[in-house]
Amino acid sequence: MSSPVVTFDGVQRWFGPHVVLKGLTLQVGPGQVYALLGRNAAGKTTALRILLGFLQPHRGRVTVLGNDSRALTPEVRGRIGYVGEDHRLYPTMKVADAIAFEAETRPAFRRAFADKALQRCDLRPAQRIPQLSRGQRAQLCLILAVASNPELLVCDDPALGLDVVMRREFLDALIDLLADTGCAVLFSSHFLTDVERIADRIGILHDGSLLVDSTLDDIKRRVQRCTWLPANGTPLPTGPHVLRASQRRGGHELLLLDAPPDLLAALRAGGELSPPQAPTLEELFLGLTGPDRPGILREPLDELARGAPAGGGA
Amino acid sequence: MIIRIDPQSAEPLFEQVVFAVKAAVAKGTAKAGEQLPSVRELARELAINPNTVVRAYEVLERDGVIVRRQGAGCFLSGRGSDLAATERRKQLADLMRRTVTEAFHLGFTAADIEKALALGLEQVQFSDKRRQA
Amino acid sequence: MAWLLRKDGPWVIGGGIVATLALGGALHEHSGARVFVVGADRLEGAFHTAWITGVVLGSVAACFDEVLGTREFLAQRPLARTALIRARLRALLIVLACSFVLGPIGAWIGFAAFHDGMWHTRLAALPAIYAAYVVALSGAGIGVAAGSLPVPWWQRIVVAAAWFGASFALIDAVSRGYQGAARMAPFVFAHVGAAAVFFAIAAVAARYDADPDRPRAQVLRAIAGVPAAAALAVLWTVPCGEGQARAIDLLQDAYPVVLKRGDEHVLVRATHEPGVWRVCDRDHRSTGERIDGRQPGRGGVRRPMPSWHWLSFGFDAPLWHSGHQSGWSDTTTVLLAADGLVWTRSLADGLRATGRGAELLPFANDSLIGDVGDSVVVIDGATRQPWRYDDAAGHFVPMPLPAGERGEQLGWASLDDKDPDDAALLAQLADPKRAWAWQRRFVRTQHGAYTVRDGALVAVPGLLARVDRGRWARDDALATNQTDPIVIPIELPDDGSPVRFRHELRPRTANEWARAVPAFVLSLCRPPLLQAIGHVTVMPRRGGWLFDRLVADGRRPWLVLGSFVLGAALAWSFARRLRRLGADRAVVRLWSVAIVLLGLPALLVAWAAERPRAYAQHDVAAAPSPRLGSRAAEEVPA
Repeated sequence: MSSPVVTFDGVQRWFGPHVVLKGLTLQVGPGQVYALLGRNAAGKTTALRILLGFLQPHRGRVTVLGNDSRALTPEVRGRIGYVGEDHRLYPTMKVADAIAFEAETRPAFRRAFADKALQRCDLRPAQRIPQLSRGQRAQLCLILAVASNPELLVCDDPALGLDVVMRREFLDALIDLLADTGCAVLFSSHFLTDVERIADRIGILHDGSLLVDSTLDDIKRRVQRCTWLPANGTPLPTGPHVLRASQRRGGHELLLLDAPPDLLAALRAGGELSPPQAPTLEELFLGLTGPDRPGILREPLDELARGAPAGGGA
Repeated sequence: MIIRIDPQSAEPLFEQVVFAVKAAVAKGTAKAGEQLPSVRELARELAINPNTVVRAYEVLERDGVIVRRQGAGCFLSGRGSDLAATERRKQLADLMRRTVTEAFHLGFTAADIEKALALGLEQVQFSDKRRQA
Repeated sequence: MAWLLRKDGPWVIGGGIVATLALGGALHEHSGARVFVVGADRLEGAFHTAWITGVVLGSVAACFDEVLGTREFLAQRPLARTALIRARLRALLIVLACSFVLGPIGAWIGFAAFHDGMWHTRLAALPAIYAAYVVALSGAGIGVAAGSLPVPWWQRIVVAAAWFGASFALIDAVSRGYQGAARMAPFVFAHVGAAAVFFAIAAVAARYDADPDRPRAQVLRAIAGVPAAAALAVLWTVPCGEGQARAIDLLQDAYPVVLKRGDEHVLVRATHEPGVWRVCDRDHRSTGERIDGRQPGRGGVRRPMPSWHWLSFGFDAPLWHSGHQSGWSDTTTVLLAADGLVWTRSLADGLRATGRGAELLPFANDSLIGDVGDSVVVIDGATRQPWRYDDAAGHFVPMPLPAGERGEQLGWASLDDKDPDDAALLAQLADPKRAWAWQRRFVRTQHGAYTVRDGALVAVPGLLARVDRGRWARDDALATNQTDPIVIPIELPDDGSPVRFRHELRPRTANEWARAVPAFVLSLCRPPLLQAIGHVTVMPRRGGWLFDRLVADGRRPWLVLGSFVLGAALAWSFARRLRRLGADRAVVRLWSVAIVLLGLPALLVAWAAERPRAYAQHDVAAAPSPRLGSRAAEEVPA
């Protein structure tokens, strides 16, 4: 296994009294698409800004392409593409200027690729940046970031503010990039359906650290969702296999991890159980980070997560 | 060949792709020697990560469903599977055990399961016959 | 370069156009002849336009990406930070250089279109223009340096204001010569030097990002924090000095005055009744005796206070040479350049070169021009010979002085026709054209004052003492320390006859002490380093506001020591705070030294720069590993 492209190692960062990251640890391998999810203000942008060297961590360190994020040389920066949260471009430029500026400041810029991508996205070089729609700006930003053939692409909520069609176009551009170069992508997003399509691995950032750091396939294989209406007096199941239990109309919504058949049998014996299904990412996200948290999230799961049989390519 | 997936389904995406290809072969809608779409084409078509497609194709190749020709792309091999008979039998047993377990959990009896299995077989054979016709 | 222009194009081009228009337009405050032919004596508009333009351009250059929100969009590029900064500073200098070249060219074209006489244009007129423009460089330096500081907006504005006020006032002080005229070379070099320093500060400061949650880089403290503290310290002397001046005025009002009663001198204080005095003893206590009914006439009361003149803070457009043009020939203005060339300007003839005698020779450098009596007079800078402009001949003709006399000054005298003595002098002048004038000019020599009547010098007896002294008499740019304003020795009479009354005015009563103490306290609050320098060096005539007269000339070393003790106490308490916050030893040492030397202003800067937030450490419990995790090595197919 080649060395990871990005490593967060116990990164802590605070703003005034507010501790945003409480020890973020994650790795992005070469060619991997990592989706960093989390509610607003969960620290996604902070993590990405630390990664790019715009912020310094208070504790821990971030390594990008083998370099400490606090001292990124121009050479390393040349291998990283970045799409900012607000798709910021120079408002005084035209599209052609933005392309030329990028070409002049990035030695690895591929002019032909950018021109082709512009055509595909229906962006005319003569258009002024302020006249572009949000979606067009996002596309242009992605084209600019991708045209230099980066080894790592960092996108901070690239789909924010885009409508469905634009999001799909953005996704297409990203897929092209991945197919062309096999670069690693680390992106944060709110749009979980997109994430389900594109991400190899997801991290759910909550309360300053990762609740989930797993491949999507693994999650689908191991997590089950069911509704349980217990008969009178049957206690709520606890134990390492119950990720989350929340009150629902007369019963409970259960998120189960690696549920063994006997647990399911016991539940069925103690009440009415809906057929266990794999949760969608949205259901998992809601279940883990949603506001309704009766506190059944079991600590022993840590051990389980570490010791669980790996489900990958088998 | 029609390949469709459901990103929200419980099944991992690459398995869905593998299954779709195998199903097409099994149903006879895809013939030996037919070329599969390139990784990029399929990824764009399905709007999924190209890595997933690569992985699916690798599994298919390993299972002998497709062959990869350098520079030309991937083609259907014309065989259901390259695996040894024992291995195949073991996989079938595994599949059956999982299905049966699930079915029991759903409260079906052995007779129900047999009936359902016969129905499933009929459907597959129906398409086989149609292909032969 | 190309990429830079693409990005910075808007402000480079817009700023260049605005700067060119501003700098060029500002030259139109005078006539074209004055600006481009004679050489301006003072370009007030250009000076103020230039520094404003500089400051604005500098801050725009520093903050352009920050305002557009493209700072990170730019920073993520494979460009070295130093290359970005260098490009930014270079762009700023290019804009200024372009406006320096194009501004005067545009102004000249404007003059040529609407004024005559521009074919006399001389390169010798350019130094005055560029000496006025040079403040655009230092202004731009201040703008770009303060704008590049990684601190909040309001702190950048405060620092810019402090740097601007301190550096401009100091340069104004060091470049001033006699009678308010500025010396061009020190002025230009000082501003260029200041610009270089500020550009260097900008180059270093721009390398750092603002992060209120981490301690600043030590180099920032050294190159920005300490200069900011020094600038504030310089400005801090102004309110201290003003406060002291007020306290000393009150103190001197409280001191008794000396009344001459017959042959005897007595200390008295005024009462509420006019003309009634209360006698004081040598300790300034009232003896109860009153002197009544005597109007204090001229010579009766002596108030033996030294002239109290606090050298005030400020800066202004420099005046390069005084005595420049004269217009008292009804139709003609005579213009004298600093290098001695002369022109006449009239509605009928336009601009015409003239000079000494029929050969139209130029005068020497530093000649003087002025309206004396009914003529325009020039005193030649080399021979000190007065010349008169002869309108009919169209050139200057010499006016002989008595043997051994040399023209020293075209001095002003104020004559008041209500004063009987002055009325007698005015009658001698018989100068009806100027009957309205309150001030008049005369040719002053060592021994007499002369006016001009019918083309000849006419001596005016009794006037010499009333005409101000010649500029060649002395150069008192550096004056010795002025006397102590608190302890004032009195010896009377002071006309050279034997001294019969001796007294030392100093605070003696509670009331006098109450007024003296604030002056001393403000002295303690002044920056210790400046106190020490003022204590041991000669007090400059200009910029005297920087130093404290109470400790000048070796007076009151205890006050100097006291200010150091106060500084040390402040430094000690701040060092304790810093150590409590967890600052490095180097940080504590730097601020301690700065506070001991610069006093309260340095404490303020240090307090604003070292916030507890930057040093706060949060004890964060080790983050739990993910609830749902899979090993990193498993997911990508090999």
